[in-house]
Amino acid sequence: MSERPTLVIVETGVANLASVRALAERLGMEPVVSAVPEEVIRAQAVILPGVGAFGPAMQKLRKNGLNDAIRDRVAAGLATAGICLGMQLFFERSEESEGMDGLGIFRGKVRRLEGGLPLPQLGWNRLEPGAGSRALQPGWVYFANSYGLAVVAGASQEIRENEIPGAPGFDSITTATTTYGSPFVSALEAWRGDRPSVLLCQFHPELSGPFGTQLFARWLDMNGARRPL
Amino acid sequence: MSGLAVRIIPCLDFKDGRVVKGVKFENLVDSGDPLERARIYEEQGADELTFLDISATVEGRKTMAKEVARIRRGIAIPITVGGGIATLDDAARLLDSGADRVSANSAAVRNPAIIGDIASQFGVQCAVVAIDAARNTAMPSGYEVKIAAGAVPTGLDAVAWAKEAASRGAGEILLTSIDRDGTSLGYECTLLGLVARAVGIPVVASGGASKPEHFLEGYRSGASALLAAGIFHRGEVSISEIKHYLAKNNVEVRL
Repeated sequence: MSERPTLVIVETGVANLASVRALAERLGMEPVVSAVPEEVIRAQAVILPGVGAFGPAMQKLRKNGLNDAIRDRVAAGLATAGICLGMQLFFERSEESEGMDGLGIFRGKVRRLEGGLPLPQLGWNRLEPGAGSRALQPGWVYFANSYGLAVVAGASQEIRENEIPGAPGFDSITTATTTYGSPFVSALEAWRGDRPSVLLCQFHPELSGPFGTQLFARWLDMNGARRPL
Repeated sequence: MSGLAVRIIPCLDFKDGRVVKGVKFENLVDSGDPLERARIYEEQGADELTFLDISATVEGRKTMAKEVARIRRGIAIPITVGGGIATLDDAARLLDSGADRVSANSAAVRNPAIIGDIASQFGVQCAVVAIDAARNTAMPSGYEVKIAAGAVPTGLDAVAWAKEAASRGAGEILLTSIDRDGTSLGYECTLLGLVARAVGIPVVASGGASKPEHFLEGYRSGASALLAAGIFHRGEVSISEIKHYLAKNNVEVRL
């Protein structure tokens, strides 16, 4: 029986989770892939990973009651992260699956990336955290996405300033941007009290070399979710 | 500027779980433990790794999946695996083992539906189509697709096939020039330019690069990523040397 703190990777259907598991291992956490709401609520930390399309992933979350489990965790201020599609699910809607509501924890609609460049965006790009970011730091990160948040100007501000009625509130939200033809929101940290309880990454921290591992180590430690090694 | 860095990708050829590197797909030479190699390349700044499994047996492919799992735990950059992927199950097995993307080559030509199947099941970013092309003046573009490790001509025009692969859901084209592979003469830039302009997805240049100048030529021809094998394995050029050369020439690289 392992005594390591558990990091639950939410099962959203067909997903390649080996890389996220490897990230958890590098962080000294016990990776547990689960679609059980109680396990998702109980874990020291949770990652909502990202593979597949917005609509089917949301359907899967709803079917298993995982949408409520994730919202409850976030409302309780527990360490919860989203990666790639997993980040997009935290918002209200996506152009990829019109008519399907997201988790609706943050304001905004996910859209196909603009700028006329090859899609998917595949490779390393710069993460540029906005003022006040503490978990997020500048560096190179690995992307594999055709959709993203808010190519539209003012979206970062909307995320920060407009709370959704009934959604878990935050004391502060900061975003990071990345430019691929035009800028999009590439990450977000949302604080409750003295903890950045929610971390969302449009990039893949599990594939971003030591930078990605250090980002998650920092975030887990700021949340007290990882015992000292 | 796209903002995105051009990727430098070392390629490791595997046979029965061991690393080998062929010259023009022949005369295979064993060159070491794959995990050790992979770690060295990650430290040198490799942006991604590509593995090609040239095992011909079921046993060999199982060994490959185990090797992928071992390497996945040891490195934190993306891994693409190709070679012998003919079915959705083959793709799923490698993705479960820890590949981030899979590339289909001969199987995609024989059964193009596999491209859309992989894309819809695992996402377009997972679906790489590898094309081995050789000069043939009888083709509209001047290049013909060959399969079965370059042994079998298909009668398909390389540029037309790349376009079809993209329209069927490929997220990337891994384009190898058979004429240049193992020659050290540089990428086949005409071919690269034709394909990169024809498709709206990233193209990885492969075959023939032996010095930093070749990587710059490949980038300028439209490649989003630049792959090489032998020169890295033999330590003739380091990844960091190539990246510094590209940076000096105003190409965005991750340093």
